[in-house]
Order: sequence, then structure tokens, then C-alpha cells
Amino acid sequence: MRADAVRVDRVLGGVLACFGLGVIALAARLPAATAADPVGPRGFPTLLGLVILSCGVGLAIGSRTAPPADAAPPDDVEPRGAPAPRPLLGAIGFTALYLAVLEPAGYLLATPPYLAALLLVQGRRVTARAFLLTVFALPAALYALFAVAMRVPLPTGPLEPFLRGF
Amino acid sequence: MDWGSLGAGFAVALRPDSLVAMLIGLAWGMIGGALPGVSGPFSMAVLLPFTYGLDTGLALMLLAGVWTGANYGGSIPSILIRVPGAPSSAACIPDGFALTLQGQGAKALGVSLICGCVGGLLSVLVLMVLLVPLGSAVLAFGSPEIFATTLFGLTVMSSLAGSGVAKGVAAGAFGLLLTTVGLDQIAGSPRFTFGRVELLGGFDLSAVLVGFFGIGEMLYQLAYPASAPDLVDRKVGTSLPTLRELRGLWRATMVGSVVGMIIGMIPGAGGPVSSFVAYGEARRWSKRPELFGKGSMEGVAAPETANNSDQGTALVPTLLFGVPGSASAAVVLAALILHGVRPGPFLMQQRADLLWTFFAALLLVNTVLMVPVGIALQRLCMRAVIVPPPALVAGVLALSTLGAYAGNLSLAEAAHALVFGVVGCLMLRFGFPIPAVVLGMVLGFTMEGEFRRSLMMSFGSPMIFLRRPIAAVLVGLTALLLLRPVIARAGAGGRRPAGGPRPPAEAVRSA
Repeated sequence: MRADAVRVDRVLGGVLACFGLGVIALAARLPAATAADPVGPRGFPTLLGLVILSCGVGLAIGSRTAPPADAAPPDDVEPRGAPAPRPLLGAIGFTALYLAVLEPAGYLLATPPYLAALLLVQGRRVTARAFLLTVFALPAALYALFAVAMRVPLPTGPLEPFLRGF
Repeated sequence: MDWGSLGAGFAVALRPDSLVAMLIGLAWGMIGGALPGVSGPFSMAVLLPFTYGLDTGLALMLLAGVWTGANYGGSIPSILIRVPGAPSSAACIPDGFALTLQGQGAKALGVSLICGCVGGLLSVLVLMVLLVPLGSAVLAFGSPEIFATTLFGLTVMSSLAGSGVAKGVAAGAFGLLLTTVGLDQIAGSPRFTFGRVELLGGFDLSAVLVGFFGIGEMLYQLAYPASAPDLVDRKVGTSLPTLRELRGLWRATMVGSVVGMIIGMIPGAGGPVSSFVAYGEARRWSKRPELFGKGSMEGVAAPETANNSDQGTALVPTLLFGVPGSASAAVVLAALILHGVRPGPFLMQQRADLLWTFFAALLLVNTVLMVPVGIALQRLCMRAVIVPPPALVAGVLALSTLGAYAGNLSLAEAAHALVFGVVGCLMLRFGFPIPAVVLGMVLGFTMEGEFRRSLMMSFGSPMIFLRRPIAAVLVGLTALLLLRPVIARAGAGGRRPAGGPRPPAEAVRSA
């Protein structure tokens, strides 16, 4: 377990160090410092790249600092299942799709199928009541709160003629 | 204390629209806090985009309600199902849940509610007393001092996050890096925009907050599903403590108040840290320390008081320096920035009316509104505690996505939030503290600006940070914080320091 954690930290350290180097390389293309502005647009990002690079090197070479005694890793780690990549990737994909159809379809038409897809992609049983409440009652309640009560102009899509009075 | 300004603040806070905003905020915060895995800062952050159309005062009153409500709401699942609703509520789990098993869950909820109000009230009073004199004192702060304060605050939050200094500092630096995207604040040249016009203005703060706090957390819960929660006692209500019972808790309440107020004032240190320190101190000061962990009402009172009492004092560094005292205060800071109000030494002079209205709202929420709303929403909060995880994840993900879009009705910002959510999920998986990223994002503009102005003043010499006493002290403290693990290991003869009282997993992960 400890060996796994060290290995993960080494890989993370490597990734961080590469990221830091990337930031420094990209920052090098920015305008340099001048006499009037000794840091310039390039200085601060370069400094941050160096900090990230140092953190990465620190992790990778195993000098990972121990957490403070009052915030050490927990004893009673909440039991979590194995990683579930399918629901995760599905949710990301459905969210991207939702954003693509949100404006043309409108909030009230786009949200119920999105919520149904999010529930189904998790592959876990929910009661019919919970399903119906999540898919239909929740979007309606949020619409009432934000669009009606707080006057946030959420997209209406084809329902525009019916929602104009609200 | 400026009684005239406070009176004017009350006049605004007692208007019907203000009261409605505070009540909506309290209800939102309590229910959000009661949802397992939904933190107080998230409950506040997701509302942020919807406040764009509101008057700044109303937006702050709404957030005052959410903040206070979420502090109490978070204790409900902690006490009833041993799952922290918010990281800062995790400290009351050992005794709160033990009391529930002993059939005293209702009383524990009542103690949490009342002690939270006491802590919140004292803290806001201290805030009001301190802010005016401190506001005058910090007028002497120049760019080097403000930069050193932001650096210290970010380092405190990064190094106390329980993930190790390297991960904490990397997370804070990443947050700062995000603020460098867009037009450079002094030279006006584009940075890291890759030719994309929508990036010229930089990343929208509310989209980043919603992405990291909301979408990231929900994607993590999708990847690592939690088991369905269940109540030990489905008929448990809220039973307010009697005056006699409260007298028995005065010591724990005072310890919690003092600890919460002191830790709240340290930039970046508020939130869960104050609850856990208060728990330990209350046990030390208690006449019956052996009951702690087995169902001590003091073990609920102290952390719940501290939880609320860091609220007011966390606003001291937030408002005076623009360095938030906690993750929730960072969202208040973000709200101020989004509404065009820039906190700092001159805020007290420029927008005193707004601040006193906010303080009046905090007083009203903590004294008059909190208890009745807490009792009225008790059934709803109980239902929130046992919402099936799939429905919770789907609902919160949809709400977060909508929140990211609704701020500026921008699909690009919603897409940014989704990307930040994926990054946030990966960071949670590998133990990087999310609040450090958010704090970096909130502080970035000030930090870079003051850093550059300092070096302009000194013609490029970094020694300016060591030549000015206040800046030198803060830089020294920052260095000590960064070197603390090395010093601790050297002190322990190369061994890792022994673990003290340990917070539960959820608190470490999201605090």
C-alpha cells in the first residue's frame, strides 16, 4: 500500500515537473521585463512554473513532506467502491452534449433527458419516485427559483411562446 | 463600533426583499449542507452566478444566509449518519453519532443549532469591533505588505490542507496560474490565450468555483460511488437544549468561540481547522474528558460553536486585505469581486454602507432567523440527508452546469467549468487540495499586481520584502510554514511525526 502511494507520488511528481517546465516554456514567449516594469508579463508565470516544477521534483524524488500531525491521512477512510470509469466518462459526455443543446432546446426541454441520462449511466438502482422527482420536479423547481423568482434569463427554446408570461 | 452605520445597515437588512434573500439563503444553505458531500463553499459558489442580476447588498445577504445555514446543515448528516455534510462539521461526528445511537440525536442537533448561533453572534460582534480600528491601521500597508499577506494566506491554506506541502503549494500555484490567463493587468498584452478571443478576459471566477467545488466533486463521486446513507432513527427531530443544559455547556461553547475566532482571523486557516482544534481544546478543558468520543454533548457544542465563530473573524482578513480566512470567505470575496467591489484597506472608507448592511444581515441571520428556520426545515433536511446518491450526483451536477452557464449566459464559461471539473476530479483522486486552487484563483490578481508594484518601487530588488518589517515577518512566517514538515522531521530524529487526533476522510479530502 505504502509502495503504491510512493509510486503514484513519483508519477505525479513527474507530471507536475513536466507541467511546470511547460509553463516556463510558454511563459518564455511572453513580453520580457522592462526598466519600468522589472517583472513584466513573463515574470510571474515563470515564477509559478518554477514553483510547480519544484513541487514536482520534491514529490518525484521522494522528499514528499509528511502531513502535519493534526491533519494526517485518516484512519477511518470512508469505504469507497472501485473506480467506475464508465459513469464518469458517460457523465462528462452527457454534460458536453447538454451544453450543446441547452440553447436551441431550452432549459426545460434539455434538462430532464440530461438528468435521466445521468441517473441511468450510473447503473445504480433508484426508486421510481426518486427518478421522477429528479428528472421532472427538480428542473421545474430550479426553473421557478432562478428564472421566475430571481429573473435569470434561462434559455427557453421552442417553449418561448408558452413561458413569455412568467 | 459605529452604531449609526449599524443602524443604517439594519434598516436595509430589515427590508422585505432583504429578509426574503436571507431566508432563501438560509434554506438553501441548510438543505445543501445536509446533503452528504455537498460543502458549504459549494452551496455558496453555485448560487454566485445567479446573483449577477441582484443588487450587491442583496447578493451578500443571500450569501450570509447560505454560509450560516450550511454550517448548521453540515452537522445534520454528521450527527445522524456519521457522514460530514461539510468538512468543518466532521469534528462533531464522534460524539454526535454516539449521541444518536444513544437516542439523543435530536438534542445533539439542538445543541449544534444553538451553539452555532452563539458562536456566530460573538464572532460578528468581534468583527464589528475590530474592523474599524484595524481598517485604520492597515492603511499603512503598501504593496510589499499586501503581497506578503496574500502569500502568507495562500501558504497557510496550502500547507494545512492535509495533503502534504508539495501538493498544497502546487495546487495554490495552479490557482494563481489560472489568473494569468487573459490580458496582462499592467502591460495589457495577452497571455496564454492561444489566440482564443473568449480567453482575453481570463477565466470567469464563478465558473472556476462551480467547476472545482461542484462539478469536480460530483465527478469524483461518480467515479468512486458512496454507499446509500440511512438514518439510525427516522423520527429524530430537533430538541432545543434547556437553559440548564446550556449552562453545563458554557465552557465548551466559550472554548469553541475563542478558538474559532482566533483561527478564523488567520488568513487561509479557517473552516475545518478551527472545529478540530476546538474539539481538542474542549476535551482538555472539560471536567469529563473521558466522555469525549462516547457521546459528550460538549464534544458537539465546541466544534459546532467554532464552526460558526470563525465566520465573522474570517471576514477580517477577507475585507481588510482581500485574503480570505476560509474557503467560504473566499466565495464571499469572489462575490464582492464579481460585483465590482475590491476588498482592501480602503474598502471600509469607500463602501462602509455595504459592509454594515452585510454585518447587520449576519447578526439577523445568527440571532433571529437561524433557529426558527432550522426547526421549520428539519423534516426537509432529514430527507436531504438520505437522498439516494445517484439522484444527488445527477441533481448537483445539473445544477452546477446550469450555474456555470447562467452567470453570463455563456456556453464557453460552462465548458470551462466542465474542464475545471475534470481537473478537480483528478486532483481529488490524487489528494490535491481544491480550496488551495480556489484561493489561488481568488488571490491571483491582487498577488501578481502587488508583487509587480513592489518590485517597481524597489527598481527590481526583491530585498524590499525583507527591508519592511511587516512584510519581513510575514515572509518569515511563510518560510517557516513551508519548512515546517522538514523541521518537524528533524525534531523527531528523521522519523515522521506521530499522528494526533485525525479528521475523517471526507474532511481531509475536501478541506
